Amino acid sequence: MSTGSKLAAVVLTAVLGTASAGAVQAAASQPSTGKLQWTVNGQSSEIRTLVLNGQQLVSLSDAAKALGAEVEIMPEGAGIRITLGEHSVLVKAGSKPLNEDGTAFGQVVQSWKQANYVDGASYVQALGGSYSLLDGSGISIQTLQLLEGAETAQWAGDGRLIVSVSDESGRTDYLVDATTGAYSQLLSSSGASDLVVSPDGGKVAFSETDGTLRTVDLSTLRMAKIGTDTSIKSNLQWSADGKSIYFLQGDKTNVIAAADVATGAVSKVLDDKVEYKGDLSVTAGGLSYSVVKAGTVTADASKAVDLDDVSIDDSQTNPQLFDLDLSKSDAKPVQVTKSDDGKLFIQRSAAGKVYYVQAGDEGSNSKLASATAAGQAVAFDKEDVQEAVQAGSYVGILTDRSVYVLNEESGSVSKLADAPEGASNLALSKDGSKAALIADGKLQVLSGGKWISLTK
Amino acid sequence: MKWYGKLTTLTLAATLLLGAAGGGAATAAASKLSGKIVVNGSSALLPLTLQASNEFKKLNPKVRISASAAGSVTGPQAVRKGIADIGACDWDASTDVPGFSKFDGQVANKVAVIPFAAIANKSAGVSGLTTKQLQDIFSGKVKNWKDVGGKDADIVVVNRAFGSGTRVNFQMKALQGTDFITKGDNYKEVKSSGDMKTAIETTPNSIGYIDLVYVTDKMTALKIDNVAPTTDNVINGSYKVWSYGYFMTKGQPTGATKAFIEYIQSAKFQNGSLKKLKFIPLTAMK
Repeated sequence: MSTGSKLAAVVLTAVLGTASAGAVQAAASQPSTGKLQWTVNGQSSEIRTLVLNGQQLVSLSDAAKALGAEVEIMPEGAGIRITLGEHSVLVKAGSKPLNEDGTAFGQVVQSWKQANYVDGASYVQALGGSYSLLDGSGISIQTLQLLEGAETAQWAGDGRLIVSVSDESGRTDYLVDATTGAYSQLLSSSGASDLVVSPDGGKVAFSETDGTLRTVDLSTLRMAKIGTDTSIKSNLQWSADGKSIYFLQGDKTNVIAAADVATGAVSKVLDDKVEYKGDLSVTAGGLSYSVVKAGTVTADASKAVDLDDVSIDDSQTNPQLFDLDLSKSDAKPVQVTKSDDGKLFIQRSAAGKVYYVQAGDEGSNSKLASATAAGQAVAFDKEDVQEAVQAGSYVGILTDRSVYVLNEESGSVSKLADAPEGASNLALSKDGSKAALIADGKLQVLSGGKWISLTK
Repeated sequence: MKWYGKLTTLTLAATLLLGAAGGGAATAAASKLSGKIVVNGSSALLPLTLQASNEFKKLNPKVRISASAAGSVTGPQAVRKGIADIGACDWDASTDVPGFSKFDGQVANKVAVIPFAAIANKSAGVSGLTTKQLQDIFSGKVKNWKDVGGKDADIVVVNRAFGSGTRVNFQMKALQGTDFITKGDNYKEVKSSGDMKTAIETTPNSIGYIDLVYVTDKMTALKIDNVAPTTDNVINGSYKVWSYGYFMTKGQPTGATKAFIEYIQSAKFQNGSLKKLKFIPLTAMK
């Protein structure tokens, strides 16, 4: 009849003594107390524990506080109702907790020295959260509704990521809080290019299917159309000062152009008739790109088709890398590689080096290499390099087993963490301290040396 | 029976949730695939092949891909000869088409939808033609624009060289199989889409045909039977002059070749890079 009095979780300890009057005392064996680390939605809390008959239970009040749950003392000694979002449980010392349907679950609630203790895993799950062990040294709990799936991730500032998910109808981009996993939809599109984050992390740029260039302010979510040019655009890149957006123009990507974000005016940066440029990368003072040559085909159309008079020379089809000095108006592109190897994840650093993954053959490791006009060098070959990603003065390196960070200024390479099985899409924050990647179809963010899933 | 009444839903302050999350298509991590894939054939499909190659190799660092183009027919020819794994072709080369017998044992894997347009120099003075008028112009029966509603000027027919997939498709779909003229003072042949674009833009009173992606505002893309050549009209079924682009393989594809074809056919590539290159996704034609 009565609805009881609602109390904030922070004052729960004080009232539990009353609520648990008549509780069964733990007496089967000598209990021991301790503490356990819970990480709830990325936030750490210390939880008191009670070990009884080999079973570890957690303090009801500590758990409720850590979860941010609401507590209600039920009338007439009916117990305590704990509510988190749409889920509730009824807890009474000496009995198993009841879920919303009145079904008992988990272990009997124990009372010990004026505090109640519950089975943590079943309690959290009954309240709609996920409960998982963190390499034996703590518990990870997620109570927020997480985004389902993740295909790519990139940092947009230090505390948030842009995560993309594709399905048959197109791609949806989300802003995801890098600590809690809370997310909001940013853009849903069919045919829009990948979002490219501005150097200050405040905006993203993309081109629509018809070639229209647009930006979105990540604070206000206001979208702006940049100019009226509708040529085919690919490889969008922000200039270091955020005032221009560079891109490769045309279906044969033979032109490098830039759009002024303020005016929308598009100007050609390089139009040297060289087709199939790719991997455009712009940093302060310069840009780099790759050029792929198509194979040379010799075919005599005057001969009968069934003679198959065709030959292909594809000996020069691996990409070569070029660098262009943007500080000089009359600068010409400089070829910085000549090696006949596969080159992937090509990006220009702030210091003007062009880093790339030098693809190995079957049975040999792929390496991180760098190139300048002065020559090529191996930057990292300790393990089989899968990906490399440029972030400020750092290069993130994903190998088949680890994540490393190369500090370009010092030249040192340090290991950030072991890589989860099947990891891909490494993203590194600009200060080189935060890493995220995709593994098992989920966004994983490195927190305290461990990978935490922020999508499900 | 529930032990309490309906609960008030609490809003978690930290939750920024807006809208439902879409189903996740996970990106594959770097794979164990290795080897080399050689692609040759259609020049229209070359930009698509190179873009897909760039993306696919990031997922499969130890797969090498080379791409080349010298006209659609050289694709299945190179596959039959054993010097290419994939023959990029603007028609299904496992079947007979005008001018070319089928390539036995080859499998046609659809990768894109390619619309084509009949195009005319701006000076011709027409905005559309009927199928019969197109047949008469390209067969040489009608030689002056005034006979089809244009100005009094000789028509210059620009044709693609034998072996072009665009030519095969235009003949099959726009001309419904009727023959081209192949010589004469007002007849030209060009070897590529780029050459066709230049020829129509710069040759007064000319007519030709081209992939829709190459159409510019310096030419007239002609309506056919009063239907404009647009992506929407291809998708809604009213415009018939289009074809699938195919990756021909010797039998069913396997290994890295199979994975590469599946990547091009994936929703991510079809809705992303393929659309930006002005092709139409396969799923649009359901």
